[in-house]
Amino acid sequence: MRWVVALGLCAALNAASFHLRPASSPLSQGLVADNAVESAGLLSLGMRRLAADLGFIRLLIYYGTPQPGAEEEEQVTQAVSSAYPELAARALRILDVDPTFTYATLYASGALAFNLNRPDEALRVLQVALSRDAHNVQYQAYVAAIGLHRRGDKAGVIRILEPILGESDCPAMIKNMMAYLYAQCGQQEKAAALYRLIQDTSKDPRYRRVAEEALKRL
Amino acid sequence: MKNVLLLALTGWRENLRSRFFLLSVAFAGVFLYMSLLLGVLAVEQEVRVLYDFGLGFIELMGLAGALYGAVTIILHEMETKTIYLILTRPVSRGEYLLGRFLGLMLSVLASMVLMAVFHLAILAAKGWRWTDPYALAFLGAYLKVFVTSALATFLAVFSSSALTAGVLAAVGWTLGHFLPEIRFLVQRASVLAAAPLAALSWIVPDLQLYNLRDRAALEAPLWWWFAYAALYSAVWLVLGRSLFRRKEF
Repeated sequence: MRWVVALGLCAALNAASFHLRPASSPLSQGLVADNAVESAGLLSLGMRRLAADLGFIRLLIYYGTPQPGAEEEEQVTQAVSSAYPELAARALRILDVDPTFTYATLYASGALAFNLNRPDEALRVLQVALSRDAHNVQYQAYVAAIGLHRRGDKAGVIRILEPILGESDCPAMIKNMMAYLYAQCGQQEKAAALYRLIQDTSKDPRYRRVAEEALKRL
Repeated sequence: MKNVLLLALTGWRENLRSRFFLLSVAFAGVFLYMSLLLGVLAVEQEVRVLYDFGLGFIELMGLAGALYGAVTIILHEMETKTIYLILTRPVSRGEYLLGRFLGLMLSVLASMVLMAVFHLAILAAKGWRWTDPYALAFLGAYLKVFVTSALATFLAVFSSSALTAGVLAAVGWTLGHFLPEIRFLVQRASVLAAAPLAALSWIVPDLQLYNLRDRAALEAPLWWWFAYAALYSAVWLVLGRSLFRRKEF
């Protein structure tokens, strides 16, 4: 009898708990062979964010490893458009595990659109991100900027992305791209200021090096 | 109630004298090493990774200490017969069980707070600002450990084996985090296949309720956190008490 009462109470508590909070969405992208065990392990421990973090570190390592025949410097600024074919898929998996990881989405979509010249893939990543977080202003700005970038409208890209530069989670890659666009559009002072900002604040040594060299040129 | 408090404080003092708090020191060492490593790997997201890793690690260390304590303390005192020293006094078995449990939970809380202080110091040194719901995420982690320890205490009395109780409690911990996925599967599987899963989903603790580490905002009111932890733990402790009262040693 005691057992029945105890199990009934547990069931009532869980029913109330399920009623009070919405059901979370299951994974839609699935797991991949190289990190399936690790991801499943972290999810079973209730560590989705940490699983997303490790996925992002893997993405950084993947994107930070020069492709055969490419120089490291070239990779930071402009790589071959067919390089890093898994970038979008990796970003989508991170987004799937942690939909609030804005930086990973911005980093991957920025790299796809502005470095690798694959705007369709970047838009696909942003579309999924917006379906999870429709009011995210940074995502919306990126979509607009990619559209203008496709048409070669540099001034338009600057206009759209300029407000984002002040955000704490704006990737150094976007700052670097914007500084480059400023320089292209003849706004040397703004370009120099942005390169100095990258040099002073970025934790990525590659972008700090690129900024240092760009400042010398300016 | 006085007996329960006395036993809880005694348990706390015993843990203070024992090596229980070495957990915090071990955390500090591992975390310091990991922070250096992750700082290099995560580049611009170093603070986020340290935040997530630290909170997760605090929770796991707290759980390890709590489970070890919950499944060994009573069984050890039964084996060494020291339990007679307490139960021959005017202390009921229920008071003994509750007192030991609360003493352990007090020690685990102190240990987790120590780890959190160290974690916050590292985060502050890396430029983190108090913007995330850290205190609530920490509270959620502690309540998860609390609920699982109550289940482990019951399992220890039920099975009389520390290993069995520890493994079953760890399985409960894992399933508790998989509850949304279990519910999802129950909705899609056939009635026959879903029945065991459905039964499981009503019994295991809903640990995702407290998992604020993984979410941006509270999904259930805070009062429900405390109510769920208190009631769910009470169910298993009362059941444990009724088994313990009938136990012969």
